[in-house]
Amino acid sequence: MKKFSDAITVAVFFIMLAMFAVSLMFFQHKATFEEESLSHSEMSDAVNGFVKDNFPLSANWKSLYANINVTLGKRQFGDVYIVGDRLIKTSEAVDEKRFEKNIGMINDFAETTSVPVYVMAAPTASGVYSSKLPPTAVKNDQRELIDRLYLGLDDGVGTIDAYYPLYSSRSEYVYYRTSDMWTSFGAYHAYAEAVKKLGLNAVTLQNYDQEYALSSYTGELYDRVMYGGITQDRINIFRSKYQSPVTKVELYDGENTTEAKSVYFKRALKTDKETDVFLQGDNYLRVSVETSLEDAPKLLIIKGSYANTVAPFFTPHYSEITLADPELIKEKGGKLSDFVNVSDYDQILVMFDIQSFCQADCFDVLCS
Amino acid sequence: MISIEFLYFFVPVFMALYAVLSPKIRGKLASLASAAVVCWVHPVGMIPMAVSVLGGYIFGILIYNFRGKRHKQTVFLICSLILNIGAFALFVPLNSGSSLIGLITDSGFIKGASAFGLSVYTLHSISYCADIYRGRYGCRHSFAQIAEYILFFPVMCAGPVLRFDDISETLKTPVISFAKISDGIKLLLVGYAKKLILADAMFELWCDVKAIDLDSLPALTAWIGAAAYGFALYFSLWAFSDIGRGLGLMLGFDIGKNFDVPFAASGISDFVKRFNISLFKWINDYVFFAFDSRKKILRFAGIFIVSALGMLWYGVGLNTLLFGIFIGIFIIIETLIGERLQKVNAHIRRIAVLFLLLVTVPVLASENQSDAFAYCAAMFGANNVTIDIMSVHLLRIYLPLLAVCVILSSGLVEFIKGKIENMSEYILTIIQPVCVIALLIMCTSYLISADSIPLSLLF
Repeated sequence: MKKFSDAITVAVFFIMLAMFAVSLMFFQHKATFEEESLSHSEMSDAVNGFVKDNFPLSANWKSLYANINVTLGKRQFGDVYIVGDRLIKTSEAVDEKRFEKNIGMINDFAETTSVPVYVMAAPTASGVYSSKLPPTAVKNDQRELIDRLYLGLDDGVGTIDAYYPLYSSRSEYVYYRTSDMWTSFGAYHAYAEAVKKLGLNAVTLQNYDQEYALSSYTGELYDRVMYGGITQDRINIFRSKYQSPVTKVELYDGENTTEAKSVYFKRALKTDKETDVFLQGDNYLRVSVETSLEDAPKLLIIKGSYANTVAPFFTPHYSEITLADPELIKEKGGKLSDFVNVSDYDQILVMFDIQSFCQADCFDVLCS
Repeated sequence: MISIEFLYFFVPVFMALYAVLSPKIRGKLASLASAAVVCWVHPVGMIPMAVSVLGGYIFGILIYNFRGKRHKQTVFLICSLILNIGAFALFVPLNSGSSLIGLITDSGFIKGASAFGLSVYTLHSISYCADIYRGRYGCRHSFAQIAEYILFFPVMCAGPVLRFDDISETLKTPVISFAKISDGIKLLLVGYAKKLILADAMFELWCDVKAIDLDSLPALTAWIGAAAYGFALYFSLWAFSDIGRGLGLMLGFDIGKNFDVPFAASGISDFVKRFNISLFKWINDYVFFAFDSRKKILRFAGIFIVSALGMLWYGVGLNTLLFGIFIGIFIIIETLIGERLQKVNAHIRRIAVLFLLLVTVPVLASENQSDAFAYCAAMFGANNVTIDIMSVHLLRIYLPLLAVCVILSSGLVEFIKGKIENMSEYILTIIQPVCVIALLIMCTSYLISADSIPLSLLF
């Protein structure tokens, strides 16, 4: 009997190994070996990366790993933390030198232009829900960081507090559960605060119809952890109950210009990056939105990825909104003035989340 | 050895070839595979490997052929020692991360080199020549068999250290069977599970504790950290030992246990004997015998030297050396008050051993001695904080795994396993394949989702 059991054990073990190995070699093509060789300096690391990325049912394996670990008590997976049914990307330690340098560059930029400059630093979920995270996962106090940023800015630079509105609405659906990004609700709260500071009256939520663009959205944090206990997200689009003022959207990637009629790009919902539904995400270095409000002022947004969700809310107030992505401008090796004539605008809003602001290495493109 | 490509590609391909080939050629295949593994980890590792194998083979023959001429034999033995120890000293990674040869040549390629299996095959080569010198056995002229013994890849990670006479017969004609392969698979997967599920989690816990400022480290957290580091170390070494034994069995070699419930030891010298048994025996046979005298001073000097050498085997650094010296001091004290200690209740002695080990572990775990001292002080409440929110958080997260580690290291599972093995054969027939599949699935999910923490990070 023992012999039979041993033979079965050996057969099952090697059949399983062979099955997955053969499937990996001949039927999986998620990543090529060349791609892995480029991202790993050592040959053995490249092979390891190739096997891991192409392993059959990799999502299921990762999900099993997460479920076993959560059952055993683990909550942190790399820099992602499980809090209830939410995934939060833990904050990183701040590079003080870079932080100070970035503040200095915003001040320099404000000095070079006569257009009023406003700064809005948004907290991320790790800032708003910091009390739910263990002490080791909170490497900085975002409230304090935002205060330090605003104190460091010159008097001429306006500041917009997005922390308080988001913190006081933290029990609402203001951040995605599976992505390090705010939802349309979170963005609306930030917009309402911003627009007040910009001297305008916010459009109330009653004036919008909510469209559930995608009810089964799972963001990049979910892809990293794959824990089944997290409820999927939904992507909401706030559509004005009245006629949309948007007449033209121009997207410029540094070489070509694409035109569209709406600030929402529903094709993106079928791609891997569903949140690109808002102004095509971070793919274009300049996005100009023109509206039918010809006499209204013009707004230039120096943007981080948090600005994409907010920008559509500003359309009822401005004749033109231009979003310039300093990171992509830097990648192209240019300056802001090469792509945007700053003096054409009436207001400039620098909008980043505080984590990205601290890490950004692109504000030098603002000054000519 | 703990990677998805090793388990899913190397193991089946190698085992298929190994099973198909005739027993006489299997040794050649295993030697080639060992060389391939060393080369795969880093090609520079081939240099000390070649030195060790050729040194062992050639000097083994020379020492044997000059039997009766003691002087010449001694010269050849010294030559083989110089070659092996020289290669070890040049290629072993130092605290800076680079090896001596890397520092001398100042080449980026060599600096980053890791000579896989260096600490194991050096001992194999030395013991082979020394045993021939002592006349325990004659030399063997088959290069493939000597190469297979010295470079036995299953044990190259961290032992067990093999003796030529233990496996010399199997080396001639290794016989594999379903029973051996099946037992080997179980050991291999249990080893993987110990490393991936327990040792790596305990290392993460240790890293979480290490990240806390030493000036504000509460006593409870410090004790949890010390225990976590101890478990990470023990389960890593135990896991590699199981993997070595498992792969060895799959190749037809019966390798003895390397750990015998060390945390249940009733004295430090007992602990040393139960922890990495094969290394202890090796050091005892080839180093300590020179100090095994009736003169207490010589004996104590021997204890100091072998404790330090034993720890330096794990990793060359001041931390391992100091930890070894501490262990030496404990053993000497134990020897001096041995009779009185015997009168103390065995359970109290066991607790005392654990206490001493936990208090000394920061010396091994810390990057410098002042940190180790501050850590030990924190364990005894120097920061005036016993427990804080972080201690509670760590306990909440890691308590299930800590409990599993405690149960496994207490030997309770071995006891239960013994009982189960006496149960009905029918139940075992069903349980065995199911357990293997479950373990394989679990290990695969860990291998794909996380990188296993290398052993070198622990020292």
